[in-house]
Amino acid sequence: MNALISTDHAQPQPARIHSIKWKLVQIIIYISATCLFLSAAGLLLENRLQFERDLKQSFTIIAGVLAENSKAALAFNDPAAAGEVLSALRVHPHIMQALLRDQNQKIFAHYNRENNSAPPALAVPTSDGDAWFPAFITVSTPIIHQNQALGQLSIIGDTLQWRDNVIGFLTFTLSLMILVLIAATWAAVKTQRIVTQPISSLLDTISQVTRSKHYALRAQHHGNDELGELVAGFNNMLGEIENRDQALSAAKADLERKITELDQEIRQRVQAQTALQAREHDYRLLFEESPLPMWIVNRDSQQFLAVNRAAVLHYGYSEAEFLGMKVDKIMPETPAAAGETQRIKTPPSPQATLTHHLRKDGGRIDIELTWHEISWKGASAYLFLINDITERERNVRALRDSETRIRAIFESAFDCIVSMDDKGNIIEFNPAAEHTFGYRRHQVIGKPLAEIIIPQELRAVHQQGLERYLQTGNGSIIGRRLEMTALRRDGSTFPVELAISLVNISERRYFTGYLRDITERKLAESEIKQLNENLERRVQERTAQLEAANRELETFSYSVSHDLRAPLRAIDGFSKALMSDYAAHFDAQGKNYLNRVRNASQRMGQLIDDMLKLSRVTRTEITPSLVDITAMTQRISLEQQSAYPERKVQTEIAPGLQAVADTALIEIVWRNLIENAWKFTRERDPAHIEIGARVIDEQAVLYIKDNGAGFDMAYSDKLFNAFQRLHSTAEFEGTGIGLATVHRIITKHGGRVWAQAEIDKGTTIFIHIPGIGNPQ
Amino acid sequence: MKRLFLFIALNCAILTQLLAAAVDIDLATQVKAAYLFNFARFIEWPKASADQQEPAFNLCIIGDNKIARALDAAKGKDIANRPLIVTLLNNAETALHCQLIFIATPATGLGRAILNDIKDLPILTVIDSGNSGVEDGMITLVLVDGRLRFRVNQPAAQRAGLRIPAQVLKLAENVS
Repeated sequence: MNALISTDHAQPQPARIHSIKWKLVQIIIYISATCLFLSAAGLLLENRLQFERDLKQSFTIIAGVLAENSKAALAFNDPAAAGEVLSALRVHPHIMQALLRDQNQKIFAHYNRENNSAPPALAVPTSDGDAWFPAFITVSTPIIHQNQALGQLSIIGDTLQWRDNVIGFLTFTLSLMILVLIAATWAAVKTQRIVTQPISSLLDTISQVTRSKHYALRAQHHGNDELGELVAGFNNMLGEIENRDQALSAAKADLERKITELDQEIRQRVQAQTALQAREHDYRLLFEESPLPMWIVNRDSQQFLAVNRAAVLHYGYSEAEFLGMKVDKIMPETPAAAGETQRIKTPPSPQATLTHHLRKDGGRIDIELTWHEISWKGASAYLFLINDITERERNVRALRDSETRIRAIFESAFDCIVSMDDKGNIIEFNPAAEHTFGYRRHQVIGKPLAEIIIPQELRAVHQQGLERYLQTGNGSIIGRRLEMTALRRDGSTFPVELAISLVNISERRYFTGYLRDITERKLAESEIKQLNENLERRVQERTAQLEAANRELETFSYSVSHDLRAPLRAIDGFSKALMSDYAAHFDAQGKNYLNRVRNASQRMGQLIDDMLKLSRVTRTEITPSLVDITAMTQRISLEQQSAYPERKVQTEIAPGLQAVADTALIEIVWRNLIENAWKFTRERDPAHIEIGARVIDEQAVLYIKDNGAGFDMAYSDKLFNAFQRLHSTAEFEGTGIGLATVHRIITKHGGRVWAQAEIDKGTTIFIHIPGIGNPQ
Repeated sequence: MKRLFLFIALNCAILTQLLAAAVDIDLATQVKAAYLFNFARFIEWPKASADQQEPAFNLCIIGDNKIARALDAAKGKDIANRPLIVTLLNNAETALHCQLIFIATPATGLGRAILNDIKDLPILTVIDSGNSGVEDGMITLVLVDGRLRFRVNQPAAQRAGLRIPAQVLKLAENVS
């Protein structure tokens, strides 16, 4: 075994051994270098701090000695003596400058290494040296004698010694490091064998075993450490593997033989299976996908054994339901069905049998049934084929019914129905047509339509239209309702309403005309038209007359009012003259009469004024604007108060009343209403008048309310008519035109005015004008 | 006649001093005052026993009021842990309490008497020689090249037990 290892020593994977070897050496060198480097760095740091401390201390001592020695010179103000003291610094090569200051910080004496005559300022060097060590060190010490400050001494020294010190230190440390590393490397190379040699020997064995598959080989044993255990474990493992390997070889051979046998058997079976499946699949497809319902029934138990999709769709039972029931479930319970059940048990016939079945929903279907005897999974069974002929039967019936219905319509229609083929020959002629045209059906069938019912003068047009339609497909009259003239058998013509429809049947076109005799309707239409024309003319005439009359009336009333005033003034004037000039000639009765004449004439004058106003209101155009009702009614109330200073009237006017109206007209309204209110509250002390706004029926309404005489609501409809008075002139004077004027103005504004009153309780007049506003 | 003359002379002297007090003290006097103060601070007196120790440092002046005034600023300052007191002397008896005696007029009878009385006592004698040529003090202020300097009689000081530090000696114009 030794020989084996020694011969193969350099061969099996030397690179890997080398790598472990070198890793070990590298690790040792890295550790050594790191330790050395860190130690050197620490020492250097300590050296630097110590050096600075030492330098500062030495400078401080020198400064202290000098300070002590310059005390007297400072005290006795002898700079020369102080300079002498400082000049002792010359023996110290690293002190650059010294400055002695007196109590007032004035420079008293100085020392300069470079040149004694240099400016006596303490030139604090600006350079910081390198980052590692300051270039200069400054030390200051105060000069105190017997607790009294005499001055201060500052010393600046360079740190050039440091550089020498560091160079010396680094040279030494680096040399030491190189030496130590060399020694460490040598030691590492020598000692790594302790670890690598057993591993290398183990690796040799492993590669030997791997190459030769010779599990009887064993690795050489080294020592009792972990590596020794590893080798022992490996050797044990090799022994185990050797045993297993032998057992495995035997088992493998056995297995291979069995697999070969099995393989062959499987191949045979698969072939048989595939052929079988292919055939079965074809048959199943035939059964399943057949559009006709099919099923298989056990011959003895009559139980369903299989159904196809068409059967499921057709009968409404699911496949599972089918398989759970017997054939008689789908047969109607009739004697015929019983017979059929019996028949199923008899040998099948290849001929189709007509019968009917029940669907799941109870619907009856007519079917054609065919069945064959087959063998199904070992049992004898019947294969049924069902052809549903329900639809076919129904269609035939429906067609027959439809024909009957249409014929009935055709026979009993009021309109004439005439059909022709594309050659223009009549093919249908209904009883209404017989009646209207005077022909019998059999007389016209097959004859050209044009010659029978179309007047001579229209026949050419008809022929052209028909030909054009047949050639181009453009039919201007197809599907439209039109009016034309038709010809009777007796040669007379009459107006008809005609609609033509087109039907394509088996590549041929048939035209059907629906005609209606509209002689009566035509007559009625022309009559109505004439009546309408008359009526319109008459309305126009009447309107013109009415407008003229209105204008005339207005002019008349205006001129009457106007012209009546002159004679009235005369009556009043002369009555007045009589009263004043001939008073002596009248007795009391005469004077009374005269007064009554005057009163009457004045009242008439008032009447005429009011009428004039009313007619003016009628003529005036409205120019609406926003009117401040509150201000307006306040002004009118004040005027009233000054006109009747003796009256006590409490007037309440709501603030912020507004209306969109013609200012002048609305003032006439309010003047009338307020004057009325004052007038009819004459008997009241105090009188109360309220002007405000409220909402009635969702409309803003202005109102004026008084506690005056009021009136009987029975006459409220007369209140706003001209010359209508609900009180006698003796009670309350007035012309009866005021409220008429109010009514007319409000109406002209598109508004509404009404009153509410109670005798002796007061009156409230309400006004609604569209656009009345009140901020409340 | 002679007495009358003396009286007038005395009066004149008093008048001059008063006049001098009225004007600023001249620089020379200030320098002298500073010298006296510094002597007091730098020179070491022998340690006396606690009961014999004067409670204050008595700086005594004979014959120069201006210096006394120039020293006003230094009064009460700490001299070896004792407050400085400036005293004008006009008799020899009180001189024994002084630690430092400045004699501006050594040629007068009083000056001589005092110098004689305190010989070898631990009292520092400072003499302004002026033009008198007398230099009997331990320290004598002299004018050299227009600058005030001092001379030290080291044996006299040593006899009295006073120690004049080397720094001070170094500043002296002459040490005998």
